[in-house]
This record gives sequence, structure tokens and C-alpha cells, in this order.
Amino acid sequence: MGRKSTVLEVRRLCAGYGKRKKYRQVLFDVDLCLDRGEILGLVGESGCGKSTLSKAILGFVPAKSGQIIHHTSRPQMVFQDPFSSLNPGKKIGWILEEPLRMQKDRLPAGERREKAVTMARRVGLDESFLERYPGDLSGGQRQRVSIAISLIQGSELILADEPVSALDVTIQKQIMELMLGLQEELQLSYLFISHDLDVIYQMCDRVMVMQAGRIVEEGEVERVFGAPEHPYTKELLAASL
Amino acid sequence: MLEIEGLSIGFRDVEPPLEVVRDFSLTMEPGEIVGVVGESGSGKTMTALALMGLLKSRARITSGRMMFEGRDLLTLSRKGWEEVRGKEISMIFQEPMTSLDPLLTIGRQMEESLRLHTDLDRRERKRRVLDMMEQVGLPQPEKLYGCYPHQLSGGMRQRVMIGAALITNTRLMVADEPTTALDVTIQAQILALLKKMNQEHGTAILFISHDLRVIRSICSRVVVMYRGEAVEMGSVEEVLSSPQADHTKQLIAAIPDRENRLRGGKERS
Repeated sequence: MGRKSTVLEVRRLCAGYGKRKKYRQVLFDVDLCLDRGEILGLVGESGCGKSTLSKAILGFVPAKSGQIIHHTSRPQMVFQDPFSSLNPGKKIGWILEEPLRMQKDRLPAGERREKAVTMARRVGLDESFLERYPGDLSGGQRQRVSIAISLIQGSELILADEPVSALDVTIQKQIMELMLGLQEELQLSYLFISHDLDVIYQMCDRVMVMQAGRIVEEGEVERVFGAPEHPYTKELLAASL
Repeated sequence: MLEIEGLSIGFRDVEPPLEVVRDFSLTMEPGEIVGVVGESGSGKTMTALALMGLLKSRARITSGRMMFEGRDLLTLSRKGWEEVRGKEISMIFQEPMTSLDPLLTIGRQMEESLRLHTDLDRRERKRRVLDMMEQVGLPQPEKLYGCYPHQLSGGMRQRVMIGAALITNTRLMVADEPTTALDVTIQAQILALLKKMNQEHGTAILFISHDLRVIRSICSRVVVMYRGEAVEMGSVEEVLSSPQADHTKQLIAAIPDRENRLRGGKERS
């Protein structure tokens, strides 16, 4: 219902990298509004600024101008490569508990463990996985762990940056189904970044098309795919197989 | 043209010995584009490397036969392979960033096969390279000739790879996920280029991909690999419309197409 259920707002955001003369602006006047329980897709080609936008939302890239307003606490991120985003020297249980260990009012060890077990089960991994190392897991299993980590502190907003792009199609589908199931169950909101139009179509309610740091088109998935308006959206759709 | 029969590849230095490709057979006609599809670890790339005589020393061909234009590839000496590889069979890879030498100019890399396999002089080689650059759609050939790989985009690097692979009028090109690292619009361009080169030069292409959507768009026949075995083979149309093997069915069901949307018309507040 309008503003009240909004979890994230971005207004006229400009951001980029480098200092002074070397400054290179990547994002130009980006507007974004994400509602509770909504899955918003962000599609565009490599280098267009998709990942920079998600990093700016989390504060890893400073905004030059514009506003980012969070209406939830602890937004979390899920990355493309489940091989490089998990500490290879620690057991899955330790990795899952890490966000809880970092919290100010730390939970006692027993409760942390309990939460880790529950979360692992929720993403389809049984308790035995907590004793394993990331190297023992397949790509799909690791991505399940990444999702569990992102949710363990009760986050309601997940920024997922190409979360299924490195996975085989059959695993890709399982992870998409898992993310949709969790979304429904926990009323999560996703900003779902992908270069794959078909994946966006399957997963999202709305989609924003980004080109060279600007949002060139935005709308309900069915409308954008069925009747694209911007030439760039048309080009993307024509190129997809 | 190409006949692979009962090919098995294994690692014998592990216990128990590991077979990564089992009893793989495939025939290819001149000018054909055949796809090999399968998930990571299914044996696609091992098969391709075997076909190029490029298997790492730990991997061994344990049984089978590979005939290429009447020659038995498995009995080729190192010298014999050098005659075939790059001249009659060439390969392009997924990552054009790592498969080009960062220290050599584009022109130098594209003429490599001509230096090895022909006795053309420098001027003639350069003329052929510039001509090939034009054919693969590289802009301003004269200028690009002296550029280095890092100065080119991913799509342009892949064009360089394709040009380099075809410059000796290769009969068979093995393309291992050649568009997987590219953006969709670039992917479409590269696929169109491969089709064009296939039609104009009659180069047969063995096209390896994990993506059935890509296979569907470029191949006439397809082999589905699963855990080292070819579980299904046939025309792309047939295999996609009436798959027989369970794994093929799974692969097709998992294609993220625009008909079965996972996110049903969810009501939003």
C-alpha cells in the first residue's frame, strides 16, 4: 500500500569511482522504489552499473548526490560466485554463525548454533553440512549457504547480484525456486540483478533496464517483455535466444 | 569427416581410477554444426581436449578410436599433431582474455598459424590477416593489427580468436563455450559470425555449451552428455521436442524460458 510498505528508496542517485580528476561517474540519476514482498529485477550488460548500484545501496560506493533511504535494517547481499565468497578455511557452521557473532548484543553460543541449524534446514541443507568446509560443497550447495548467511540476522531486503549465473541450469532452477519459496514464507524483498533476461522474467514482478548507468525503462515484467518501449530494451530482447 | 568411436578418458593416478568420459561416440560431416551440451563436469571439455590432442598428462585415453579425414588421431606423434592442430582442427575457448597472449599484438597472434603451417612471406601473411579481420567484423584492421589484447573488448577478442582459428582454412573448429562470457547482444553477434563463417568456408563446428538456448540457435545436431556419457543424440529439433533420456528432459525443463514463469502472478500490496 504505497509508501508505507516501501523497504527501499533511491532518489536521483549519482555515484562513481575515483577521486577528483580521475573521477568516473557510473550511475546517473537512478531512481528506485522497492516494496515489501516485491522482487525487482535489474537487467543490463556488463559494465552498465548494475553491481555499482547494489554496492551504493549498501554504502560500499559513496553517493555523489541523491538519496538512499532504507526502511528496513540490515539489508544483505548474495553474490554470483559462491566459490570466492565463502571463507575456505572455516566450517559451514562457523561461517553461518559469523554474522551473529558480529552483532552487538551477542547471542550465547548454543542459541547461535541453533539458529544456524534452523537456517541451514530452511535452505535445504541438513545439520551435517555445518561440519563441512566450503571446498566439500557443490556450487549449488554453496549458494544455499550464501542465502542462509544473508537471512540469518532476519534481514528483509536481499540484494542478489547474479545469484544463479554461475550455476548449471538444473541447479539454477532449484536456487530460483528456493529464493521464491523463502521470499513468500518470510515476505522478503529482493533486488535481483541479472544479465539473463529469461531468469529475470521467471523471477521478478517488476524490472528495470539499465544502460550506461541510467535506467532506461521500468515496468511490470509482462509489460516490458511483451511491449518494450525503449530501443535498448528492444535490442536486448532481440538478442536473447 | 570425423568419427569418434567408444572414446573413454580416465585419470589413472587416482584410486580408484576415475573415468571422466565413457564410451563416447560421434560422427561429423563436413560443414556440419554439432552441439555438445551438458552440465559442468559432464565431460564436454575433456572430449574436446582429446580431439585436439591437448589432454593434460594425468588424463589418458583408455580406449576408443578417433578418425579425422581418414587419419587415426590416436596414433599421431607429437609432430603429427602439430601438423593437424591449428591447421585442420582448431579450437576457440570461453575466455578470450586468457587465451590470447597479452604480450603479442593482434596481428602477430592471428598470423601464428600461417607462420607454422604455410611458407607465405610476411607481406602475404599480413594481407591474409587483414582480410580475415575484415571477414570476422573487426573494425579498422590496419589499426587493430598493432594493438594488444587488453585494448580490445571481450567481443572483439573473441572475433580475433575466431579469425585466428580459421585463417588456415581449418576444416573443423572446436568451440568450447565461446559465447558464455559475453553479453547477450555480443553473444548474438558472435553466433551470427560463426554461422556466417560456417556457411562461407564450410568449416564444421563442434560447439560445446552448457546452454541449450545457444545450442538450439546454432546447431543442427546435438549430443547430450551426462556424467561422462552421451545419453542422447539426434537432430536439435527432435531432441528438444521429444527428449528420450531423463537428463535431457531435466535440462529442457530447467531452461529459463518465457513460457513457464516461476513467479506466478503474485499479488503485490
